[in-house]
Amino acid sequence: MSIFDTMEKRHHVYEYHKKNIPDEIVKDLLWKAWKISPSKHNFMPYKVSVIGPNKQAEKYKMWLRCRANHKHMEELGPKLPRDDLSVNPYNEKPEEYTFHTNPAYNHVRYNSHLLIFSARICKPNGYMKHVIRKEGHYAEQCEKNEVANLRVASSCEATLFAANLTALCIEQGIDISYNLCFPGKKDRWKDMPYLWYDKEKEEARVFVVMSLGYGKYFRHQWLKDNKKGIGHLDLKPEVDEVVEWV
Amino acid sequence: MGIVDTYEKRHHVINYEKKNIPDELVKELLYKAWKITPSKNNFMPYQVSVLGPDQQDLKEQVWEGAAFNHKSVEERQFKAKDGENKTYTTQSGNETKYKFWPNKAYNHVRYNSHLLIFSSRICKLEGYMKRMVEKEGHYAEQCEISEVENLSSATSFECGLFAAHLAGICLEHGIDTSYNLCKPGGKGYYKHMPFLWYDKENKYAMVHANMSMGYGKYYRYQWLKDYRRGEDKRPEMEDVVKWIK
Repeated sequence: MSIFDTMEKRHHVYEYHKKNIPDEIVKDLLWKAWKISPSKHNFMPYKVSVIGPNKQAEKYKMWLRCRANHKHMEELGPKLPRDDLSVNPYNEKPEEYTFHTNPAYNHVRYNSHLLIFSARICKPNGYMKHVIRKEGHYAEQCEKNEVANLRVASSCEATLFAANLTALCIEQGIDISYNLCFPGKKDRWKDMPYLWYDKEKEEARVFVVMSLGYGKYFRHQWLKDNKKGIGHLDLKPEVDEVVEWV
Repeated sequence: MGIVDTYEKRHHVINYEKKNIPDELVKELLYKAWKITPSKNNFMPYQVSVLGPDQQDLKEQVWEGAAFNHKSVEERQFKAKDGENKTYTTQSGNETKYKFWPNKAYNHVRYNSHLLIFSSRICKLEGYMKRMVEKEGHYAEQCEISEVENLSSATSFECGLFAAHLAGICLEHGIDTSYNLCKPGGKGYYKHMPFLWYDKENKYAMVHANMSMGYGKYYRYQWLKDYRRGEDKRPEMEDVVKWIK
């Protein structure tokens, strides 16, 4: 099946079946994704923390963070200068604001396996050691103090792994969903030590959260069931808005 | 062909063939990538600027940006200026003299059929999300100029999805692609490329990745072999993937 036909089957999951994916299959898919994902200078400056079916407390922690971040951003948002959103009624009456937990985060809490992509401090391989010693190359990926500077590039690299893993999962009839709503600050991960890139300061930088499982109820169904009259308006921008020929 | 077999064919290109990909085919591939790429709240907070075969001047400028960034990172770190012939201490602790060489791996940015630049875009608030903002108090960061930097990591992730899908679709058509992530990070660097600005007043741009397309002629793995640079291995799987016990 072509990549296009494969990826057309991807849908954001609101609820997974309770049946879990065998760990061996997840390991095999992760190995294949690792094998086919390229990386600048072969550093792979990220790590993928895999939280399996028996680690519900960890998934709950992550879900709480997504929820808290969403709430924080919404409460902060209307107080910021509004470029062209002056019609937002909460500028005028913030007391009328009520926070609702976004059901789009459900998949972070309940899934077969949850993967968290975060920054990793790398060791140079044989080739890079040579280039550093003999040619004076500076390998930012090996330095803790460069993690913030590299966040854009590392996030893009983590995506290549995540996107390849997604395609491999769909090929096997496994659904996935992404989540990008979580705290951006490096000091908000004190109780999740496996994410730290700086163990001394207990700092982490998360790029994306991705869940795996067998999908039961999807966002497109939820929009139809719960957002009658407006659900059909949830469209991506036209291709001409995103792709511009110079 | 399966996903693994398709992506196993991807190799970083040092030189492309001079033959260009027809624009119509590039348009079709971009359309397919756009169609299958998901986005948080369907915003797609990035734009893909396409430089075709007739935009060599702009490609040169992007290449210069990559070389400039490489040089400035090294000079900042080692406090050594190219041309001063000064000795400095490398990251490994040995001493050597500094001489800047543009990395061969950037060649593909300069010479290619099509070059794509992924950069931040301020989104319009319309349709479903407009209702969510107005009726439920949702805050759409993707519509605010002031949020571009806060969103940089998330936007970069979204660009990567588009790029990864496009790379796969290209491989299926026998087209090679290569990425470049060495580019100036400062939002004020791109004053000479107005098509990249997310903030037209201040002339700011945030570039996430460059990606070239073409028919590959000479690849990095061949170059490593030809110049006896040794094997450039990726970290072991266990270094990257950690099962939480």
